[in-house]
Amino acid sequence: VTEPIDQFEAQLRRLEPRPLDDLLVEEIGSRLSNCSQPKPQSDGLLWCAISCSAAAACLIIGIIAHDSFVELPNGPAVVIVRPSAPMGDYQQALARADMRWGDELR
Amino acid sequence: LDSDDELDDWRPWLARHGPGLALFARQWTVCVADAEDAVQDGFVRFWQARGRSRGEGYLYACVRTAAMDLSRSQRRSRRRETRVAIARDPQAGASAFTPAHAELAAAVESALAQLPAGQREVLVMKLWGGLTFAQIAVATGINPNTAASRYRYALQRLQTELAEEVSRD
Repeated sequence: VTEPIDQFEAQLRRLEPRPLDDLLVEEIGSRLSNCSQPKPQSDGLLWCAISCSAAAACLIIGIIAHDSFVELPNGPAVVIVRPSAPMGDYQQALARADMRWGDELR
Repeated sequence: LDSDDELDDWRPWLARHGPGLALFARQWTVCVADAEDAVQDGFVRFWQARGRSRGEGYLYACVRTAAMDLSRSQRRSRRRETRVAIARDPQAGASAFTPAHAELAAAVESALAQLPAGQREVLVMKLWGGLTFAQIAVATGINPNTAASRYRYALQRLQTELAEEVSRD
């Protein structure tokens, strides 16, 4: 334990990890070369479909956003004032209702 | 660079880092074959993303992730099979080091297994992978200062454990 730590470190460094198996290196090489092959047509179609869907989604969002932000014209506010019913209208309406009820009861 | 040169470029990388990576992966896996699988998966992942890579630290991070994934996915099924596999496969229990200094290597492997995982991985990356603490920080996601202190603790603990073997070697 009295040995300086640097010396101990140097001794450990003398140990060499086992080199990789040739077969493993070959397998890695073949996997990497497979990855670098041009992608099949189906991949192209998939990406085309994804791009079209994304474009359509953007268009829909754009339309919705545009509609919700359309400004109303800044004209004078229109206030609709309903004329109050003239005096006597209620009584006439009641009388008509009474007449109908009377006919049905008879 | 044409495409063939670009494709061949991976060989020097693997030649330089392969042995260290295999030893590193061995810290999570139960046998040589699993460690080699982790190196393969990690290296391919690294090479495919090399444009965005951050060098050796990222390479070790890829192998670390591959080894951990492998270890996690196979833990349940392997538990039963491991003993049988080790008994059948002479490479399964083989040393992760070259035969030179075989006695010390065996003692070091045994002492490494006693270290906490965090200290062990830092020690392996630094000593046999040749990574700097900054690169280790990239690989493990810890602070470089934490990596340095873990390394010091691991080395001290290993020195205590191996005092006898080192003086004999």
